[in-house]
Amino acid sequence: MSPKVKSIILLAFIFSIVLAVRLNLAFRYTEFTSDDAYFSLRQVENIKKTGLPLYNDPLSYGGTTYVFLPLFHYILAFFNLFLPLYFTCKLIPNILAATFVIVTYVLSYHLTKNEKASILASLVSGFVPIFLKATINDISVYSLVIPLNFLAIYFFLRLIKEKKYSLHFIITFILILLANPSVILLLIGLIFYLAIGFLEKIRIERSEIEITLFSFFAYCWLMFLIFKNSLLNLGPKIIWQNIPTNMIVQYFTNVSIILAIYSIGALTLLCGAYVIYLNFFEKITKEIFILIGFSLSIFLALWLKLIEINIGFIFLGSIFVFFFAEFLKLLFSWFEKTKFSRHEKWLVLAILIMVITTSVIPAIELSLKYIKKYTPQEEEMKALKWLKNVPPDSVIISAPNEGHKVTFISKRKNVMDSNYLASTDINERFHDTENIFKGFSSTETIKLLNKYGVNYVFFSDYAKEAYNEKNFKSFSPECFELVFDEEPLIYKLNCRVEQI
Amino acid sequence: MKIKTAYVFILAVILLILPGIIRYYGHNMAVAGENSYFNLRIAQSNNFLKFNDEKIFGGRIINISPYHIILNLAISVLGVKFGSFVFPIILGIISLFLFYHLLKYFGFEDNIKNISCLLVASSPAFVYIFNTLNIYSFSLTMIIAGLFFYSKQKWIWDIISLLFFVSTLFFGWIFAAIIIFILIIYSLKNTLRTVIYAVIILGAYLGLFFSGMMLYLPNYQYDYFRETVSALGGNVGLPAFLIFLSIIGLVLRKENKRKFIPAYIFIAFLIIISAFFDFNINIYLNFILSCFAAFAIINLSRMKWDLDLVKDLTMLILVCGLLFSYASFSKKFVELKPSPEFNEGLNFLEKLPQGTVLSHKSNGFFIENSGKWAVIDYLSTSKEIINDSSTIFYSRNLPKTEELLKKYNITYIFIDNEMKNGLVWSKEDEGLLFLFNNNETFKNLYRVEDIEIWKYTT
Repeated sequence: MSPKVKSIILLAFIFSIVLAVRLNLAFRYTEFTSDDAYFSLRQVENIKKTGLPLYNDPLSYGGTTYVFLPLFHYILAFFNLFLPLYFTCKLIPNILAATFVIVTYVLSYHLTKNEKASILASLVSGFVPIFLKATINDISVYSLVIPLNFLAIYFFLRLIKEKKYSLHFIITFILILLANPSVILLLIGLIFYLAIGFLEKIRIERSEIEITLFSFFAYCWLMFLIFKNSLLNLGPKIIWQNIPTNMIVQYFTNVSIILAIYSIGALTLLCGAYVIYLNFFEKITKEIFILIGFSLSIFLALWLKLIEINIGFIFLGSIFVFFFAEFLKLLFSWFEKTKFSRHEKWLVLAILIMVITTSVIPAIELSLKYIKKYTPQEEEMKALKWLKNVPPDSVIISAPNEGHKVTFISKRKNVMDSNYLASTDINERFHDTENIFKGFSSTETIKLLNKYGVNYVFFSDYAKEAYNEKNFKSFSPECFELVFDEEPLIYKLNCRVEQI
Repeated sequence: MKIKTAYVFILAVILLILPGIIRYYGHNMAVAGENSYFNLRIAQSNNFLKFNDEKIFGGRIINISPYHIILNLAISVLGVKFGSFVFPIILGIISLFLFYHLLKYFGFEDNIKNISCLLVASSPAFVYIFNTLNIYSFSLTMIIAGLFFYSKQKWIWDIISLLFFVSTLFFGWIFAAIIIFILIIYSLKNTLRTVIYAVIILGAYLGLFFSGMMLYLPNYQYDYFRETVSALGGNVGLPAFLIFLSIIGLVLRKENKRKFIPAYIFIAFLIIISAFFDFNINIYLNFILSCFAAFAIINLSRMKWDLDLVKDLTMLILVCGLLFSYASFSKKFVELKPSPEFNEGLNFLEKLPQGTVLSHKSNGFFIENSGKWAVIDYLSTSKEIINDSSTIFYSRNLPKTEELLKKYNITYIFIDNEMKNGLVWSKEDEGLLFLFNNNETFKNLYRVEDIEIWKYTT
């Protein structure tokens, strides 16, 4: 058996393992973990029904317009033509995310020209803790975006020598562009690469500058075209995705080393750091500098609090896999020069054990914990399904990060959800929602509920934990009728405050 | 003028007038922008030195500038409607023509001149400034004309150029600074001539200032970033692609870098002025950046690209991006105030018995133009009036509101859709909107398509 065929079999095996683990975890629960997953479900449903995304949403924020990039939802809607909705949304994102293993192999092999290093890196890529956690049961667009980003980098590296890859790059880039605005990170990464190349006197090919220039203009044009109204309404606030000021602190938590180890994996992080050090201070590898440029753009975005910490770490974790491949290449070539070169398989085994103990097991454990903790339980679903019985024009208030779930299941209007770009008075809304749940005084709470025409208050376990439910309980039951008295509580508002 | 250049010029003129024509055919015959009405009223006053403005609460004296005298002449020859539509366009065409010839004087090659003119004409800043009645269109034309004659280097033209320069000094120190700055850059080698010019301009400015002949400009609070990038909603904004291209142009200018240092300094100066003092100065930036952007386009298209496909796609995106910015702004321009519904409301207001009208300050100039007295407009600086009008808008306390309505002798309240959608109120029953439920105190006189006129009955 030739080494290439062996590698393909091994890669297929790793892909199967990664997919099996993913599907096993995803199908343990019927529901989805994150609130955003329910937004995707609504979009997929609507695309299937009308052929278009739900840009004019009659339920979100009591009725609003929200523009987003819909490619991922179209892919899911396409499969939803043949498969049931829930099944599609559990299966397809996991298959897409598992393809990262293949992309990793292809790119790592291009970088290292080392089969063993590439295979081991592809195994690690299947178990990047934060990526696994965020893409198993969340219908996350990053299941598509991450593999595509690195495929684009692969084509970028290939086009230097073979021009035909420029078309491959353009198609991949446009696909990412239509899926998620985070492609700006890759773009800035490429600009950083060109800048570092200039500073470090690395030979930059004309084609690299050309393709970067094209990507930059393509990105700007499409973003202006699609987000024109949001830009006009929100102005520069759009850079911070119009996230409520009070929320920005918790949304963009400060980066810490512990968090990085926890999200990326200890082994990958250490090896990656070593490769970066090596490239900056000792041996310059042009191809690695593209990845360094990409990581710099993410560091910068995290530092300026422009991207959510989880998203930043998903990208960083994925990049560090390639640094890990480079590290393995160096390790294997060093090992070959030692007296123990005959025992290379023991080295591979040792690395494999280290990968399993520091990446695979922690990643699975982390994902399991996350899914278990945040996936809606039966009681919560019962309460949400109960809300289907309330009058169709009712407005339900929930904690801001539960809005999509409430809307998808109950098919009723919410006051607020995580599509912050959909609102022009986001700070006021967020502040009011918080005050409602904190329930400082009965009159004030009723006033605020009246302001948004709220009929029902959904007090989930999360809301109970985040706010103080005791105050709410002390309110007059005539005004706040407890209509669902199980684990999540549902209050019906029966009063109005009017100024005479 | 070569045939190619003539075509380019015709295209540039079409780009300039198209939004106005679309607006006109969209059954909106009224000239766009609130400033147009302020300037129109001054011009129509037939005064040549000072205009006693009685249409604002408390009254005020406004100095007449050469712009208003020429505008008066234009509207008396062409009629108010046609004149106010054509006059700024004529200024725009003259500016473009002179700009083209200045580029020629500077030795720019034909392609750069042509593309620069097209970029200038298609930019939202240019379309807005030269389709509305404002002092910036006049000052820009005068400065370019001044430069044009200055470049002739003959004493007779020098005097004419000085006259053009001085005519802009009525609008404030910014224009004096711009002229002096341009002259320093323009004739770095001929120091004596520059010094003489600078002294004359400074002297003229100080003379006008101390004789109290300056025109006070409307006072806006603005977000610089938003006003500068047209995609973010600025009327006098620059297309994002023009900004990107000009940066590329600045980077690509490898030869004669030193020669362009004054231009870089001038760009920095204009950015500072528009960021901290007056965002309308972006129009000047538009001309300079267009030259660099044109340079970038020419260089990008001539450069040998490794990837031909990428070259074609990049050029296509650039053209699409610039066209998109133009089309997007044109749509916005067509919808600029006053809309036909807004005008109908103003016509109704005009026919009502004389009285003081309360509205948002952005409607002040329209109200004054309709013949009624406005409480507040963009020129109002009195904190008391600003605070009181704000109290009237937001208070739900009837006695307090009545007290203030009586204080300013307010008879009518004029409300448009912008006021109800975030400019003043965000909710249906907020402040004064809630008090309107009191039929004894407020009577609705007019309500058509989001335009409301209420009467305060004492």
